[in-house]
Amino acid sequence: MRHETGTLLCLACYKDRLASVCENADEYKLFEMRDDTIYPAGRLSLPSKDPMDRTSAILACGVSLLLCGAICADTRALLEQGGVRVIPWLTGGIREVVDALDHDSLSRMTMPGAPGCP
Amino acid sequence: MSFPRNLPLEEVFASIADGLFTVDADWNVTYFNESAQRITGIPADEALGRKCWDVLRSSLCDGQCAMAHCIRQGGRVINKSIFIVRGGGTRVPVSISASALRNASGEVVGGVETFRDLTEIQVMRRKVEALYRFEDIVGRSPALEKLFGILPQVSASQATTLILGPSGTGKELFARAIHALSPRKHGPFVAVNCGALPDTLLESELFGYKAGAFTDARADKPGRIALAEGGTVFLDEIGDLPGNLQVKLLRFLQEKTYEPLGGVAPIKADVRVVAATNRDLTARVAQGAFREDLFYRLNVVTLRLPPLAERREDIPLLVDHFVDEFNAVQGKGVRGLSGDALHLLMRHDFPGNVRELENILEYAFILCATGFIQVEHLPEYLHPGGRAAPGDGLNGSMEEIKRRAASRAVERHNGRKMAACRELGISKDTLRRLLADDTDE
Repeated sequence: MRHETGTLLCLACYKDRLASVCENADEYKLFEMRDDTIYPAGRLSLPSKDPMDRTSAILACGVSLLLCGAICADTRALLEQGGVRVIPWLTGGIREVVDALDHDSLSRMTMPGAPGCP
Repeated sequence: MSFPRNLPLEEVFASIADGLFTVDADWNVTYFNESAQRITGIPADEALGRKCWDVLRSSLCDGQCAMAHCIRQGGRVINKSIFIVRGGGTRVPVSISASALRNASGEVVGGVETFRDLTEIQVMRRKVEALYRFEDIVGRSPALEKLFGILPQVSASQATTLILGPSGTGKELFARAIHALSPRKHGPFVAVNCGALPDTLLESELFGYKAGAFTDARADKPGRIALAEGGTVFLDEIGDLPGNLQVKLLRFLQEKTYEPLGGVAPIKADVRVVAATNRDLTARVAQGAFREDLFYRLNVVTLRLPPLAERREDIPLLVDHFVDEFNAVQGKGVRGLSGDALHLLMRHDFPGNVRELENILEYAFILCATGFIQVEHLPEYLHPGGRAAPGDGLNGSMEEIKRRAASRAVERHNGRKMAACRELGISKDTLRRLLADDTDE
């Protein structure tokens, strides 16, 4: 998959998997997509559980793509209004999801009952 | 009681209105009844074999799993209020119960969870809340219903009104409601706290002064009564009004005229007076601390507000009201109170009345950013077996309460500030500021 140079990707995680609900993630892991490769780029500190604070933190650090599990419509709207592309309703281990993104095969990582494939 | 052996279990589970699912020891969904499919919007064939957190997608699934809790601690989780997220991003409030499943040897072989959709109940609660709202006053208790019944006539009458009630019962809200329902509603509503100002300042605040009345009076200054022209002046803590001002106020009530400080001619004013106090004015009159003639002038119409402990049925409505208000002001998504937390509040005596309830919920909002307020989010003095200690509880300003919450969270985490930040849902900077303020005092 070709990526725009320097695109910052964010995964809403719980331990070593995607969090089942984006708003409840205990960590947001960052990856940089550069030269057709995805590199780890650290983690986003989450001082607050407030969805508004979390959204602001994601927007502030320049994330342009968020991969997550279930997400509430209002949180998604806030992120998309801020220019972040959201691919929700995904499930799986962090490595698996990153690999699936790299190989354009995220559709096999969707949650049951997800509204269509990404 | 043992379960009859020959019953068709699937038929039984399919017939119940609550969602029910079971998982194996690896958290894979092994059964998903019809109500579970309806509530989550996920067909059974898509749910079976999937991890339960991918199917339920609840506010507990990432680290606070109810079934895992039952397996670790034993026992059951009953009626815990949480929310799930349906496809499309809709939050659905549900109440869950969970238990571990064990085989004949007592080994854990999985878990079972039931969940009840609370959406309709919440919608009905909102409708009921709208029904039991009068201006900004929330309540459905017989005591409040009676007050709501007479408030329109009291408002229309233009009579001087005295509102009596303990601190925190909402006397100013009633005064505002009287103004809003009166023919003066388009005029100003001006509130004065008679207990908050020194005597000399109170006189000039109420009646104003003329240029030259005293050294720094370079120009005329209108008093609050003049500012309330055509409207209502609310005199809170009237029981604390000093003697010399009681005379001036009596004259104003009798003649509708007053003289500003340094004034030489009386000024006429068209202002309705609503006064309030938490003191026993009859006793103050008997002690000679309050003029009897003023008491009778104020006491044309009296409204007695009941303490919250005498209208406990209003607590759930008030909780919903404050949760909505704090969500709007703070931009949060708190869904309400869990059953356990509400139960604790229903048993509390509320010496501080509605204001104490408001403070309790504002405190809970510091610890709970989203989902339902649980018992652990409430102040410690409300917890079962908890005792009020000096410095505990919700005495003091919100800043003081926040500082206490911050320093206790740090203590609970043995000085680990980041852990305290995570528990409180605040940033390092906010914690540092709160702790610094605490040290400064």
